[in-house]
Amino acid sequence: MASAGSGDEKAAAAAMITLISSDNEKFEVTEATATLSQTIRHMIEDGCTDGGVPLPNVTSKILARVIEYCKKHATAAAGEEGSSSSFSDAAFLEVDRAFLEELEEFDDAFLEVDRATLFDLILAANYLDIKGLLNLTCQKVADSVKGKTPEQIREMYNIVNDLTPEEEAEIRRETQWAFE
Amino acid sequence: MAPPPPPPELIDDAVAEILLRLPPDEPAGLVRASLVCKLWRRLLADPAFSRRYREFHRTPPLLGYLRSSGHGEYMPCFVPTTALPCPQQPNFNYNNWLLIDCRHGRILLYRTDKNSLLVWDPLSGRQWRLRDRKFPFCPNFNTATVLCAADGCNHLDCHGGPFLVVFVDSDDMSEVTRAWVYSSVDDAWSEPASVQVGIDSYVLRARAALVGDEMYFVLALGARILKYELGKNCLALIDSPHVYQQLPVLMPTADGLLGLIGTEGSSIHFWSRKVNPNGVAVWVQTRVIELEKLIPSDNLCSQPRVIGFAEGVGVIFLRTDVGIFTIELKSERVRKVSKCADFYKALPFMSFYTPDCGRLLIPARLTE
Repeated sequence: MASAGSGDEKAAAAAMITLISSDNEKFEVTEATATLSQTIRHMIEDGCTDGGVPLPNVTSKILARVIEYCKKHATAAAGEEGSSSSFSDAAFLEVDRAFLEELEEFDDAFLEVDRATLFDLILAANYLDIKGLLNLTCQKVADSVKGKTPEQIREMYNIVNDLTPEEEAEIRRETQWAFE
Repeated sequence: MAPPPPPPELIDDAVAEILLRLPPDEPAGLVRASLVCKLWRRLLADPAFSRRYREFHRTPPLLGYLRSSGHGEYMPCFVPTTALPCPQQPNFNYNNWLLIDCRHGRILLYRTDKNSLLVWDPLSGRQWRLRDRKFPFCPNFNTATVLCAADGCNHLDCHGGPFLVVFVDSDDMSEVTRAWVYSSVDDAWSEPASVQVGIDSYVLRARAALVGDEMYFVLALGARILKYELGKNCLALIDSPHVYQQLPVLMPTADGLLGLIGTEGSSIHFWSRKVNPNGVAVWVQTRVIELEKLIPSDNLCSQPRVIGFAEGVGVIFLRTDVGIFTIELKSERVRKVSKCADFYKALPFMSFYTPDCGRLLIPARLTE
């Protein structure tokens, strides 16, 4: 498909892909939205998306959020491409800045989720290889552990401390400076 | 229809992605994270992770600055600007050495009485005594700079690799300024380049700015700047944008040009040497910072002064009567880093400090 000609390209841009969550819910998305995921992009390139793409590691709840993110960012990317030829430099910069601001607001609102969801989003972004989403969500977690003690970090993210008391005591002795 | 491939070690990957984003200017945060659980500890102690971490952040953070704690720039010491493990004393008598430069993780020291130079890597603890030259440098007016010489190095972790030292001196009798290059690979000095600088002009012991393969040095009187091109082994003079009463600071700008920071009253002026449409390099003033807006005026002495610049991270060191402040140029965030202000040159020490690093071997002042 879409080997040559603008008509074919338009058809390709509007092509729909079906994503299937682990709980068997189906989501129809445009190829432009789906290909923000490198994993899905490769599958499309390999021609193995007919009949839908099963995503056994992503629940419908998380997949819906991921698609929401990809739709917004795919639109922004398309808008930037389109605007570059039809505006003067100054107008382009203005539009560009408006896009970026809108996108930043969207990202901030998107991150207003509980910690379990945030972690699920990281796992999905990592699995689907969506660089922007992975960066956004991981940075949020990294920012949240800033200045926190190991105990606080474990509590925040429900992490089991599997270090032996001896190991922990030894590390603490060596790294006392980091706790002062 | 083939299902997508199963995710390889998904959880580890995701945790690594989070740990990668911990800020490099707070090494203590990395250490505290390594106490969370075995997985976090294993990742943070892995040199492969440290390599990824450096590549992810791209710019070595500012860990502190070097200053002299004696008269005439003797007795180098390190003042941390972030929490670090207590440094250890190096195993040589550093008190007789002059602090000359610090760049690419290495410190350059000079001993005037013996006319010898020492390069010192405080992270690996290694030292290199440079081969003495057959004829001496001019003892009164000289300076030098050290830089990494590894081909294609990104300067994220160039400890122990090859380096160059460029030594510049001014002969007040012949009014000639010369430059020699020492290569650690050849363990030898090059033939000198020279330029006539005229009466009353000589090189000052201020930190050089490295821009591409060009080095710029501050000359006395402030009207001109000395330029050394490494590839061509050639010295030249360029004009200064303005003669400041206080010694200006030369630096590379964020867009890879030569920059100059001058202090006038309580204003800091930033200049950049740009090429105009006619192909001529001209100085353009790019920014002015009014210190009164950033620092309470009773903290500003009659002559505050910029005494150092950390390239890459874009931080200036400002000396006032009540101590040393750092100002982040991007955010204009101000921090007082020392109450002590009895020195006039701060050399930034920038390096990654991941949990697999050992202790710094450096004489330190932990409380200032």
